[in-house]
Amino acid sequence: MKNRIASILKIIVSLSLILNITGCWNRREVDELSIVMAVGLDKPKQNGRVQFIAQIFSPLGQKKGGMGESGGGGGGDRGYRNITSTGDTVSGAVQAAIHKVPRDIYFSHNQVVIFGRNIAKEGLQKYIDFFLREQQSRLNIWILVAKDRADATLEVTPQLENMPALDIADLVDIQGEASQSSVVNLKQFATRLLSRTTAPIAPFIEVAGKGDKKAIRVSGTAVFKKDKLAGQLNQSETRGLLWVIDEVRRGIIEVDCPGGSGKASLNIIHSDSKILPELKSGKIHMKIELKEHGILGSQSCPENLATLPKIAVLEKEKVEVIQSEVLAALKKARKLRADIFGFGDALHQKYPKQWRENVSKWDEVFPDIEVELKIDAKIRRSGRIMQPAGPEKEQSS
Amino acid sequence: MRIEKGAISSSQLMFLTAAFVQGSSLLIAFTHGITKQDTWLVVLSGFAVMLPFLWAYLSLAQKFPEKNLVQIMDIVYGPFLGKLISAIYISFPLQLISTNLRYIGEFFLTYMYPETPLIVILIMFTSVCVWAVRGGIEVISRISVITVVITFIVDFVTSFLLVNEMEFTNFLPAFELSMKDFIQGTHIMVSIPYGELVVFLMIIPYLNKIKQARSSVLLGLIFGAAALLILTIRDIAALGILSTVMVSPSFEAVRLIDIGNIITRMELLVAVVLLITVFIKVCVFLYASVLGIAQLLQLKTYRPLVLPVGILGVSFTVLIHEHALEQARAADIWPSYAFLFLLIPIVTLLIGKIRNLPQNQGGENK
Repeated sequence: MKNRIASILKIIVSLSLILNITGCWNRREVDELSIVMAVGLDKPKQNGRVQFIAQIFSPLGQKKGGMGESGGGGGGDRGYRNITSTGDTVSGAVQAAIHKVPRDIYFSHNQVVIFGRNIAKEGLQKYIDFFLREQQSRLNIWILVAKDRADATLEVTPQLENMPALDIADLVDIQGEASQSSVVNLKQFATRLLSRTTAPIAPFIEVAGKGDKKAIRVSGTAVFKKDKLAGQLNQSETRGLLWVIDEVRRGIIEVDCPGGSGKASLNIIHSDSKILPELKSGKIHMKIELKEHGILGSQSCPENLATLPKIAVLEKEKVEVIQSEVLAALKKARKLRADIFGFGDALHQKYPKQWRENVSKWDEVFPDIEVELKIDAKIRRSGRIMQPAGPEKEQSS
Repeated sequence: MRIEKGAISSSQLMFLTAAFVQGSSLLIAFTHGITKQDTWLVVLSGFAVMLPFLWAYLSLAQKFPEKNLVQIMDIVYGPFLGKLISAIYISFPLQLISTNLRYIGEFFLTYMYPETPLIVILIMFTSVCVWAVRGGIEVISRISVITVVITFIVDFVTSFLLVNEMEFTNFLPAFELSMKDFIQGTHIMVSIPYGELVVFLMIIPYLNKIKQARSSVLLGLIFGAAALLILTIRDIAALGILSTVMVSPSFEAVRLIDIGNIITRMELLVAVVLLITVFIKVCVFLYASVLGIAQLLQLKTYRPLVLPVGILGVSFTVLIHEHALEQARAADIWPSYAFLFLLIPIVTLLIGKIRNLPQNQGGENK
């Protein structure tokens, strides 16, 4: 009898324990959350404050959109809401937003953080702290810098997705196809911020077009010194930078047809680069070894380019293009005195002693570092056709 | 008189040791800030320094077979002084219960339950520990087998999935440490993750074949250290310089896993592993404390002590620090303090050698 009571008691205790594991102290259900998909930070008119824009998923709008109704009314059935608030700090601004949102603000699904130009000029460190420290935030969110204001980029009607946030995140995702804008997440940005020599970078985002034709555009690179926006790289300079830091994935290099009028487009298939620091009689010297191979993507001249001598000429031209891109980036970096390539870290890894000697005056040392480029570019294939689809020419040419 | 009736096999002891060392994976973060990209080096050097210590402990255990540390102290130092030293000694696992509870509590508060009161997590965690310890050493060592297997699977899988994010240039420049930082890092590694093995002197006597103690504890330590090394290398390779500012590099590194938006958000695995390995650790400390107290007071069983000591541990945990930063500050002092406790068994071994002890009293105490 006693045994039975004991076992019944045990069962009751176990069952009541099961109830406990269904949730934690403050369980929060999906229908009680405002899920933030994108965050923008701007500088309002009052000094020393920050304007916080959160793009929040709106379930009602999603449902209507899914039914196939065309969104005629401006904002009535959008899949998102933008909430704006201001505060002295990011946390303060987030708190101020609570007064305007009926549900808890939830950052776990945040995809992008966009910093307005003014805020980037002021210095990002005090703002980025929130995203590193906050418990729900993640290290793989995209970091972008708006050419003008961040709020404008979050207002643009999305093209394919329901929300501008997802559009922007997708857009950043595919930038590797052109390799003309840097793609930086919070981990990479914070790593560069922690480095004593390397300058942080982030892609630029802007609103292009007017009225109904407004669209967002990601291109070029914002260059920071410490945490302050110092300058920018255009598209080809950006690719020059990406060649060196080994971030080029795909893209097209256009060169003149050898011996003919027209252009040949060479697709980049693979690229690999190494920064090798060297010391030559006490002076720091950077050797950049770049290996690239690709295919002949298309040509606009009538001659058959898929012949051995012509390919050799094309490869040489390609090397020149890559070289000019890298040198353009280098020139800009030297002008800004910003070590965007991570030469300092490369030196630190190979010659710690020389790095320690130079680290405090790196801004002066960096522009004078001699750079030697060693580029090896190959064209492996000519695509699906062996020669252009046209009447065969005389062999004499 | 034998308080613990159970006995464990040598493979169980090995798994227990391995799980125990793995439980310290969160504590490597203490050295990350000091030793930066060379942390893997102090994980190894700490292991090397630990070997002679471990050899001494095992010699002591084999010199006095079937005697736990409290009994050994009685023999070596005589009844009065022996009891005094034992009492001081038992305070060591008692304090470690609280510090480990605090670490696991702070971890869960930082990363998962920011608004839950610490005490709720502690009570739930400690109740399970108390339950396991009441089951005796056999129960704890059986759980440890599962723990080690799960931990190794998670470590390998997460390391494999993180290969994309890893950059091995993060380890350069290697050996950049100054001598001072290297010694400090090694000191922390010896005193915290490895040195705490000293409490196994309360467990080794219940091994069914005492001759195998040496090999099984050593193997366990090797497995444990290998797990710590894998974690350290994974975190540094994946996070680089960021790992020096993170509260839990492991958690942040595994958070980065994102394979096609499908295999992602795996960080809870790290929390689960941490939970079960720290559970083993706290169980061992709790067991060593209550067994020591029971031996000291010459009780017939330690069972009635488990719950009160557990409650004491929880209360002490809440009182021990005001906030997490004080805990980090204490981490500067703690290794040196803990180091004293690592030395006591060695001194005991030496005195035992000088007094030529086990032969004199070996017969009558059996």
